[in-house]
Amino acid sequence: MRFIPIDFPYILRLFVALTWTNFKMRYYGSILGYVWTLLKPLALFGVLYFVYTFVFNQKTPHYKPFLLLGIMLWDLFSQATMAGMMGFIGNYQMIRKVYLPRIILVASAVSAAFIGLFFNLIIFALFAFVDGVPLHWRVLWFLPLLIALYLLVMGIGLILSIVVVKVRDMISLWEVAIQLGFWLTPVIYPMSQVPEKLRFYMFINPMSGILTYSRFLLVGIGGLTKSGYCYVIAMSCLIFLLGVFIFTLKEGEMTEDL
Amino acid sequence: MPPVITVRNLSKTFRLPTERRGTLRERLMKAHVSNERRTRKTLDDINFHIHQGEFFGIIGRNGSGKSTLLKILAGIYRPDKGSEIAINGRIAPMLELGVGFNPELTGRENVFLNATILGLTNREIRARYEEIVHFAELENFMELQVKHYSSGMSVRLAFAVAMQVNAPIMLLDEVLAVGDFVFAEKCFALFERYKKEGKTIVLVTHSAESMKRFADRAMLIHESHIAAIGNPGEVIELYHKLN
Repeated sequence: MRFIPIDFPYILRLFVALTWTNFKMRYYGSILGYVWTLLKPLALFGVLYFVYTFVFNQKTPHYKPFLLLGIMLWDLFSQATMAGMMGFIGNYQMIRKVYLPRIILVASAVSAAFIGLFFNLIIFALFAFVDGVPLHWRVLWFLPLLIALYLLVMGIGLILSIVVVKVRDMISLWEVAIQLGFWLTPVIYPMSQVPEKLRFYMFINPMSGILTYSRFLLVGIGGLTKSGYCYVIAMSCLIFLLGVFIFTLKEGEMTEDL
Repeated sequence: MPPVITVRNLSKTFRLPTERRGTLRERLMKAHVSNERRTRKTLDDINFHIHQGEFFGIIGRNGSGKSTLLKILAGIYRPDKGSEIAINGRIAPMLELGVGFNPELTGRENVFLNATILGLTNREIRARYEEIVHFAELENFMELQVKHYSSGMSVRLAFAVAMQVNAPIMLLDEVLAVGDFVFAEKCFALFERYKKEGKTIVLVTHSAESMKRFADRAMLIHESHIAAIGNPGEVIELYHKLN
């Protein structure tokens, strides 16, 4: 039963307003706020670059943009899924007092994190340019990958937002999962350094493909297989659809459990 | 004239776990103990209709189910299977105190967000913004975060927004309980105007006085059932007798 007319312009207005609100709250409404949030991936980048270049003697060419892109994409994954997870329980005051299509709450939280990624990618482009990474037409193939990443984190966010209503410690569990995932996904090392028999298992995680292929498309390191590329996109769409399905199935019940 | 709200066989059952197990540890430690779920019928077989332009009052003691009823009408809770609700027209809900304001945002930001949720476009909000602020009497506080507002202030603001939504149906839950008498008088004046304009208003209140003054019809909910429906004076008399 929907008593407020759910027409497309209304959904769009609401989505834009909530995304903007989330974005503003993340960045404390200022450019300086954005600089602060950039500090975390950049600091991590600085430390890891130091450790891997001077301590472990990492010799991957263009390692700087390689590492930075990995950290930025992983940071987005972590921020967006966390924000999505809190999209439902974090807005309980609103949910209990006015009807709105609740899926938008999660969608806008995830989208706000994505706006941050666009700024980060500009910083990355500067790094890549300074490091002398040549621009290639294949950069365009990064766009579908970006959309896949968006759908992937949205799907995960939707699922987590429902689970966390019933199991509050999912927040801590997911934090651990993200921390482990950081090392078990080729964020700081290239896939080529992973033993060959393990690669298949690592590629099951769609983030592995997204990171590896993004590096190939934007930095020119590593490779890309068509089947792998298609798998990443299909898997992301699947998780997105699963998220939408679980969310719409359970949101009514969860509203009462909030 | 056809009714704007028709409710038939409405029931609402909440599942109440004997204890709440919100964390994995609690779930694992007590996995062998059954967490028997009791159910509680908060609303049982509710039937009524409200006509266009009617001022419909709902009274009842705390926990009688009247707020749940309003939440179902607003679309927040889902009624049990078999319930029938038909509503013709857009609803502006004003439930509990404070409406869905985000405490971290300023009053101004909350007005825009809240009005967007209630269906206004940005242009409409800008056009009505001054009127909202004026009605809420918060001219000097709009750039302040809502978490610093008093409960009266946030309810006034929420009410002012809801009033500007211009929906043909208004659901109002205990709005008069927080504002001072000046604000209450302002609300009454607005009610009069809306009645003249033919809007339908559903008001939940404890105030017998305002009920007698405004309601065309009243409904008494007692222990999940409709105890009486009809003339406000008689309904209120019964309400006092029941307690």
